[in-house]
Amino acid sequence: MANVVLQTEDLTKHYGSLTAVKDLTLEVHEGEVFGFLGPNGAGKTTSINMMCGLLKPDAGRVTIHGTPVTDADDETRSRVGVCPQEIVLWERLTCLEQLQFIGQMYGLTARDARRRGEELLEELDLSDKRNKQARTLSGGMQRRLNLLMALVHDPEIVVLDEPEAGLDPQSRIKVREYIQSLARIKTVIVTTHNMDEADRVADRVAIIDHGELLVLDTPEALKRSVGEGDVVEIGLDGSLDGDSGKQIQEMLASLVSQTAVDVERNLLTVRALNAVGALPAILNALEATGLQASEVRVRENTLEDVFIQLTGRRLRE
Amino acid sequence: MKVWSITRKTLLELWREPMLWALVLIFPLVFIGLYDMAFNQANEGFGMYLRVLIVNEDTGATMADGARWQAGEALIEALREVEFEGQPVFGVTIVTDRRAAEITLEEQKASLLLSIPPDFSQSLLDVSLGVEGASPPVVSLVGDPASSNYAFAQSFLDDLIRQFARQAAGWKETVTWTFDFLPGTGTMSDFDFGVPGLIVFGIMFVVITTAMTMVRENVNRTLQRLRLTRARASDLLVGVTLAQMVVALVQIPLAFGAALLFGFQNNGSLLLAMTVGLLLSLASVGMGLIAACFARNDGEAANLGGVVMVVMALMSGAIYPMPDAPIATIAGQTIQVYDILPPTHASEAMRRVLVFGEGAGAIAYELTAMVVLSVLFLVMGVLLYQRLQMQKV
Repeated sequence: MANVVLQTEDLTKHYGSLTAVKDLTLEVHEGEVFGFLGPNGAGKTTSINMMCGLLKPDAGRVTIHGTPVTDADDETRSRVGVCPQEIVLWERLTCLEQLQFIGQMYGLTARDARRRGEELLEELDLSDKRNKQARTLSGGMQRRLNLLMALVHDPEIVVLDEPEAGLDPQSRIKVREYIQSLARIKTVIVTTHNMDEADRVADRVAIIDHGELLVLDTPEALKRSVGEGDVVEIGLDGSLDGDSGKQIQEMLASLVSQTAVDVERNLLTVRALNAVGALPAILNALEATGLQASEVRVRENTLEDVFIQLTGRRLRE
Repeated sequence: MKVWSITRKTLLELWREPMLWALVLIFPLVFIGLYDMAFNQANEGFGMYLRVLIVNEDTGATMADGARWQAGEALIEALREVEFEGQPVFGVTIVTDRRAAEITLEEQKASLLLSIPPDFSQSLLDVSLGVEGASPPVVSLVGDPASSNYAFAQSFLDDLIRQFARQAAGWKETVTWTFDFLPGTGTMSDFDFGVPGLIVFGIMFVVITTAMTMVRENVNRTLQRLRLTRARASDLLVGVTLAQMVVALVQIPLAFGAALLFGFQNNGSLLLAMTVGLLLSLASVGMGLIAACFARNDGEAANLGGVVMVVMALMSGAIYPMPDAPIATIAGQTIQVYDILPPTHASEAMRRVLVFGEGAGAIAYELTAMVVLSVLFLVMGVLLYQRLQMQKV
């Protein structure tokens, strides 16, 4: 059985009449990348703020290695490194000064903090910016530095809140690779509203919406839960309505296992074990109803499909 | 360890912020320079203060050898030559239009108007020769008796004119007067009296820098980042306080040096003045923390801190004396309403040290009051900041 590093039990937080997090119970295992997936406002940040002790829960509790976070001593709190969603830097300190300073705040000696800072800057390609003030860095560099600030004290658990938000493509690749490299040596908790990010980096994903945990499993298991096979998305010429949509679904029922018609987007989504092989028959059936395919895309199931199935909404809605 | 790191970080941030740097270090120097231009007239002697207008109507007198004697002109020359510490005592201006001279007096551009009568020379001559029925000449002095400059000039002139007349009449002095000044007075100008207050005012810029520093930690969420670490609230507050005290320590000698360059006549110990300044910086940090509790951004912190600083500085009497407002008498010491403010005691102590050259013993009351009040303000600031800002992070 995997070693539980962090555990939440019935964690609840209200802001006035709004319930930001409701009865959140989960376990994070040692050495895994744990993904928190959900749309903006789902309660991800509130959850991790409670996990790292920044926010006091209204009910429930968080434990790190069995020690409640609210009572945690310095040693226990130092086991967590948090990278907030916003860039939180001292604008007029240089990259190295920031890392050295925050390292000292975690109890490292000045020398150790400096050495560790230099190592980290090297790891995320910021060495040549070591003596540049944070305010002079590009947004992508600031985000990378923001991430390193959570790692100076070599924490056992790294909490990354939307680490890829606002990153340019180059920085995104660097950060993603870096998170994956961390996964081998640390427990990583990542919040994101990006299904690709969660799918690529997380060993297990918790999907959260309106403050409630909807499902928790590996990305593969979650995707399988939606249905086996590939997904074919067919953009349609001509306008659809509810009746024609229903007619199409009935006609394709004998050909494929699942179909969904999005009337508003003029989109037919077909899920089948051999969706590509069934494609000619699907297109013929469409022609018979007087509809033309304007665009055909074949893809695998995504976590977005899981979210849609669970909530009836898309992640970005 | 953490405290020193926070102190170092705060100082680095201050140093790299030209606006704050200028505010804390340059502005007080500029202020001293401006004050010098406005009030520093000590090195021009009393002549700058004691401007004497003279209407000379003396027609002169013919002496026994037939020579003409112009005693009026001789008196004017004598007045011009009177010096104190190598500088002229009077600024003498000869006027012919009496009405114009009176207007000048009304506008307080001169201290007094001296009128030398037409028979000045003749009367002096007659008295000196013992002419029967001769009487001393009548010299008139006109001015505003409420003006301190009038009183000052009049007392000088009274003696000098009598001395001149006695010499002219051949009389011998029966009493010789000498004038000495209390240490730190006499040649001191308004500038000299004002410099200690300006140094106090400069130190109080710490209110603004503290407020801005603390508000930034909050607005930029770095306070939240610090809360995740092992640093305690006390580490942060002590670290920031020490940094602001270092700023005050740098600022005091700078302002003092600038004042010396502008001709400030120091009579006291800079070290003691720095002690006073350090105590005031503690209180200023407390005030800055209080201001930071109610500001939502940099601008508001600067504005709020500025208001607190200026009101406190003005009420303390640092810039100009405040009217009496006694509220109690304790052990023979009258307590003014302003005495609840640390800058009041700082201004008084700074002035007594630098202007009057007094030592630590003489300002023991002010030092004690400052220690008590500074700690009180600091504790108030810390508690309020912890309650209103740190607990909500």
